[in-house]
Amino acid sequence: MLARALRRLLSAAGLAAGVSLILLLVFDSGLLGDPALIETGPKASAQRIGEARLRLGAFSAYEPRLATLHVAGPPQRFVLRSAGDALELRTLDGSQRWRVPLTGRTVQQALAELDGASPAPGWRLSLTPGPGAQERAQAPASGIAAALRGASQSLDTGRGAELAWAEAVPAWRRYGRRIGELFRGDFGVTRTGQPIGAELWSRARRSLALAVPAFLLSTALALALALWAAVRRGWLDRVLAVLSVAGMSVSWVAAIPLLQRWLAADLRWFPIYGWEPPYWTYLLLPILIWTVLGLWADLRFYRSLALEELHQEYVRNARAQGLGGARVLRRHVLRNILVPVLAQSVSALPALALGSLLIERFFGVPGLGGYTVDAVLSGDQAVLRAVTFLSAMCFLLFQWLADLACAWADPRYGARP
Amino acid sequence: MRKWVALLLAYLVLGAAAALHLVGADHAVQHYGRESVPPGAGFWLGTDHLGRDVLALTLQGLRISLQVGTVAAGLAVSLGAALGMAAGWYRGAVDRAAVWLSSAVAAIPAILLILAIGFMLGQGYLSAIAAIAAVSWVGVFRVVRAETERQKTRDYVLAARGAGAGTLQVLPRHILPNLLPMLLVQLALHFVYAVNTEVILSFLGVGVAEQPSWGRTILFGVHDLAEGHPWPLAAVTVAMFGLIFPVQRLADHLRDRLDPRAAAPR
Repeated sequence: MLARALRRLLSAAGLAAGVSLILLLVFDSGLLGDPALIETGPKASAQRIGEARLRLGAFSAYEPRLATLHVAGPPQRFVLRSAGDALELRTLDGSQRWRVPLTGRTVQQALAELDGASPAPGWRLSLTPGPGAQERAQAPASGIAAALRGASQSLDTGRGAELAWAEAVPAWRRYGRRIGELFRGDFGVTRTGQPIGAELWSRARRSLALAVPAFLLSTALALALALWAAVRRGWLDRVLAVLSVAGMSVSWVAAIPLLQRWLAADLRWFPIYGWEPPYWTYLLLPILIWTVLGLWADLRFYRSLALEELHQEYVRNARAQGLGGARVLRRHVLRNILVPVLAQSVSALPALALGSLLIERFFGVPGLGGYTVDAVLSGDQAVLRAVTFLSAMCFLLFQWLADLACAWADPRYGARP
Repeated sequence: MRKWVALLLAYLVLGAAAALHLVGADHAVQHYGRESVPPGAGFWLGTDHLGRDVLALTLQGLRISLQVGTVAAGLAVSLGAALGMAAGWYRGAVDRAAVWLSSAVAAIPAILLILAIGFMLGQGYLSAIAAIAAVSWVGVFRVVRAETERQKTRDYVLAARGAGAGTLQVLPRHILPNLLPMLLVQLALHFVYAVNTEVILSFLGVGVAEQPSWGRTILFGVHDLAEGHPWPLAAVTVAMFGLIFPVQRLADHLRDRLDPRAAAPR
């Protein structure tokens, strides 16, 4: 048993590593989209993008006012961009391009080359050192291009453009730090600077107050109905079978507001929306709706389990010896299907995320689901990453515990690899 | 069985009709002065608070759902089947790596991972499809891997291999045909999953945004409902049920007849 527990713990640790790698791939690698640009929008100014990179950990230092660049000549708009490790200046129509290589130079050298240079025949650049120029004089000039990555800045004749400087964190070090932060439980801050970790815990309590009763109620109700259908058979069984498929086919997003309207606004049985003392009154209707909507898939699965079990010989034997139906059910059938029921409920745990996402949004419960939805709507990756990581870790923990419980309750289950 | 297929076909035709604008109503037109009209002549299902024809909106949403559902389910099943067959056939390191990857994906609540991928990819049709497929292949992988492993030691496979057939002949020519019934069931189940998920994504502002997906119509419908006009929301609810229920029944029938061991997607 101990060996099994350790072995399972080891494989759960491997999966935890896999989860963190997947989240790294989704959020940090830039494979799906540049994280900073997603926060600011693609048309944001270079300075806003740079500040977002600093906050997201892509920059370890950011100096937005290194120097101000001016261009003199006939009216023209130039575009400043980073081109690899070089700084590129081109006219708006793209007919003239000029590159300043930055590799292996210091900021001082690069600025000296820019001052007085001619990006295109007829135009001349001039430079006013900003507050950062002195301080970063000996820093590598490639930081000027790094600060412009993913952004573009316009430089008009007669109007200056700020040059910025940034120290980019190498990707592998950024990934390592991110994984370390996740496993330490250091989830950082939201876009508005609120710490995420503390918020998660207080919100998790409210989410659990909603999800746990709903989960237990729907599981118990599904189990009871399934046993009833399996024992009675006949029309009841057939009605429940069709109902369960119908119930599974109802869209939660559409059904929740309709039920909310009917039960809370029209019939006035429950408060409609909100979160204030006494809190439990605001939980009643969400729990009820969750139970009613979530019941059907379980019901179908449990019914097939119960049917299979009722046809076993030991049930016929117990009945032949004169045991009543209820007693056979309670002492023999229920006990035997508890292991698969437990195993299945754990695999259904991730589905709780969906329930809390939608129900908390519709009822204004300030839990993790509502937090996630708000994060998606306001474009806050850090919150989305934290909630996703935390719920995956909880799932792995429950999976491990349930596996041990099943192995303990049923040696046959334990023998399976 | 036959009537479910007939219902499905009717639905597909309706969806195609919407695509071709055969209904003669444009979902994007706002009829000024005729906002929140109850169902009746002119607007069979009424209008929403922006004065848009609810019937046209619902049909347009059906078209989007059919497309997203079919493509996402197709991708998920193809990916899951390919990886599952490879893992079940080769065993060893390939198998361990694939199982590890799929279990890691499965450890993350599907809706959150889909939401995260869709969020990073940005709004739109294709990103919704990609996000759903990138996560839901896991369920297909699991059943296909188990079945491939089982088929691998069957006599017909041993005979084929004994006759000199290599992996590239046995897998597509002999094992794949035996997996087809199971894949068909998985396709139907993942279609349902994809339709539901796209609606949720669009409702939350991550999926389809510029088109009247059912999720967007529900979002507006909640607004109408608060003002006492339930029909946009009711229309979408009924339409979604009408699409999902027959497919779900069809999947059940197929499963009972063809493949008693298949598991539903998570």
